[in-house]
Amino acid sequence: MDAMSDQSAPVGPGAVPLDPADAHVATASASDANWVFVETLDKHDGLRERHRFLSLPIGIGTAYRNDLILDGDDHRDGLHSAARIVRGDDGGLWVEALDGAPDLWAPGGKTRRWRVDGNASFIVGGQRLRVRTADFVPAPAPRVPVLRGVGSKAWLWALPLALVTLLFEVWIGDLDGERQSVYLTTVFSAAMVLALWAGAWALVSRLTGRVSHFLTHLALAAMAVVALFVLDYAFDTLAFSFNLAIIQKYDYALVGLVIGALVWCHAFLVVRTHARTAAVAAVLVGGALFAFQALGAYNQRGSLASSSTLSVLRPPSLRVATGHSSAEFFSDTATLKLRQRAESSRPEKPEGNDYSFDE
Amino acid sequence: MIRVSRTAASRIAAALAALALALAASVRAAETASLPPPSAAGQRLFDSARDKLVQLRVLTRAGSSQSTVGSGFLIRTDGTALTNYHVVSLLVMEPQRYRAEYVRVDGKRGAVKLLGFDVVHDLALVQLEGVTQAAHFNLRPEAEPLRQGEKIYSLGNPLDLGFAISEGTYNGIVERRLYDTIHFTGALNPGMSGGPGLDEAGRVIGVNVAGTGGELANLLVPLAYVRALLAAPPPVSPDKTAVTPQLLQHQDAMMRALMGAPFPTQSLGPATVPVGNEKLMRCWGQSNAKPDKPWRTESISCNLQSSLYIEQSFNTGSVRWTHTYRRGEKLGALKFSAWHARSMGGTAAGGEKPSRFLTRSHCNEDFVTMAATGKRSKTVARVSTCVRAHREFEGLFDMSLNVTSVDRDIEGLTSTLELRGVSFANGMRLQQAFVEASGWTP
Repeated sequence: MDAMSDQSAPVGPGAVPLDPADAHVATASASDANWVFVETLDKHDGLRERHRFLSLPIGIGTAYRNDLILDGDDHRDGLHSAARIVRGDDGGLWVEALDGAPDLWAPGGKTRRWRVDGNASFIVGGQRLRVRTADFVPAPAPRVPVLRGVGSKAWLWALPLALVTLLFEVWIGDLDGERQSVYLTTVFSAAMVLALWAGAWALVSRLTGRVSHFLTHLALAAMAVVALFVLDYAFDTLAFSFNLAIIQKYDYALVGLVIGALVWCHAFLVVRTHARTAAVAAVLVGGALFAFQALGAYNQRGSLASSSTLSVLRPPSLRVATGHSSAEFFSDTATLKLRQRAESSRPEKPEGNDYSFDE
Repeated sequence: MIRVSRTAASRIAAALAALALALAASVRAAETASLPPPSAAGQRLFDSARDKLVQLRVLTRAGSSQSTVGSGFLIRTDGTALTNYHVVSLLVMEPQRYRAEYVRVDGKRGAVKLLGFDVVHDLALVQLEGVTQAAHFNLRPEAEPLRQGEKIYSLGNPLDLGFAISEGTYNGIVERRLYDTIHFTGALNPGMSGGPGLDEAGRVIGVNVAGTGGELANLLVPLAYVRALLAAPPPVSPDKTAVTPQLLQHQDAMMRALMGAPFPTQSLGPATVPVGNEKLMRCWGQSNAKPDKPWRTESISCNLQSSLYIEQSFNTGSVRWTHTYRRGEKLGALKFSAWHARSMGGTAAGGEKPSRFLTRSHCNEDFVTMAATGKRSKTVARVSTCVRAHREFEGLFDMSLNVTSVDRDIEGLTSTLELRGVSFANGMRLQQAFVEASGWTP
């Protein structure tokens, strides 16, 4: 788009470029009911500029005879008029492609004529546009659900809680009570990592919006740490209590799930990217973490389990599953032999070492 | 200033020089006197043995690079020689990649053909190609058993430096080993493996086999096993297919020795644990109880000296176990359980990944309640057993057992048992007996 003309006096039939930040100041009266606002958008439908037009039709194209002048490119005729906005017989606003070479994309695909919907965007000459009238009522801005009820102060409880869970992890392994420095190191390291993570997301927020939401990102990261710890501890306890070792062997997937969810929360709820973009980012990050751990387990023991057997214990009072006799246990090992027989007959090339070397 | 005439000075210098020469001569004489005189028997033995000794070299087929070096000795006129299995193991396990040659004391070389082997007692019979009408060693008759303190000699090519003789003493049969092994007090170095042990008459009394890690405490294979190998019919094909039956026999012998009688037990804190026959097993204890610590551990480790060398990267046929008692009175149940759990997981013997010799590990696990008996109160434990099959030797398995008590808040017992190269049935039988012999003392 021709920036010079956008920043100057009204173009075309009474076009007035508005600063998006000042949009809320414009209040339409009854006499302004015919005002038409054409908004130029980025590829995510984010508002770039808003232009007010006082009459119809509104010509859109690269030529300077148009009311809204689009940026040209090497392949487009400089006298090109791509589309115009008119009032249709039904009283509604329509956008029409011109010149017999349709270059209008609306929801549903390429078209020659499309009835304007204030909630949808269309593309003319490669530029994404949206048209609204003075009586358009915008939907209320979505709030960040995670902060609902607690506002931006969630970090005040989330961060200490995260640090406490990490300190618990250190404490549980501190047999001699002689590792005060480790407690301090843990607190500082964890706080630093959380701040770096939140800072990175705050930067993304600032680059794509106007506010960094650092504390909100920090609260989310801290909550993820707590969730990870609580879920892991709960799953391990379940595995021990009910003799479900499989839960513990594969609970490393929690890391991918929780971090994936965290990325989605950062991206969708705070940065407000598209739901699909946020979901893709979450799946990519969470999936990469899961794959990294799964591959590590496979390289170590040739299976995706994190350990061969249950490797956590809880106090005896938490054990619900009952024990079998040793005779029952050992009579049940015949399946092991069958599995090993199948395994040894498999012409499997061992992992990690190349034994196929021929001289 | 004192002036000394030229004549007087030269006289003093001459006197000092004479004194220095006299001192040097007396030191040399003293040094000569302090060394033992060369053993006439040793010199005679080495001279008579020279033609009967060989160095054996295992070489890569592609590049003829030296892979292993050992010693051997002729025992028949037709060029049949004896050595250790571990010297020529690559000919058994990877004949497509390795070949062997011998080098005699006079530098003559030739190819080596494997005739047979005894992997259990680490012996091998080889044919030195091109050697006929050879002088050879004779075996000491069975009717003349060795006496402790008797002088014996070990010959071989230590460290590939050249043929050598080492004087030493026969100190009987090593205690607490599954198979008889001669305790030779004398030097034995790498490269001498497969060389002969001789008595003063130059007759073979054993075959050099291994060091113990202790200074001058070394091992020879007794003659009984040599005679058995010489008497055995030659195998159809002396390759790795002949290893499996020997390993199966070995594990049978191992299990008979271990399970011939109920497990002897011993107290470990408030627990009773199996420790094995003290004439067979070697056990070590450890305690790190300290008054200023809120926890303490006591442990016992036992192993059966029965491990067999199969190839450089693979040993089998061994049994060992460990019991660890932990108590953390001031830790509390939560912290204690986390500490106690450190001994769990990763229970597969020798790792869990599949390898050339072993399949991937598969495990069974459960809570097991051991009922109260006269010697044990009721004990509940988390029991896991992991099994890996031998790829090269069908019917043999490596097994790992972990028994971790889960019924007390601030004290616990963990017992682990590692079995390598056992049959499935034998392994499970031993594991069950082991589990049933462990528990809290009433």
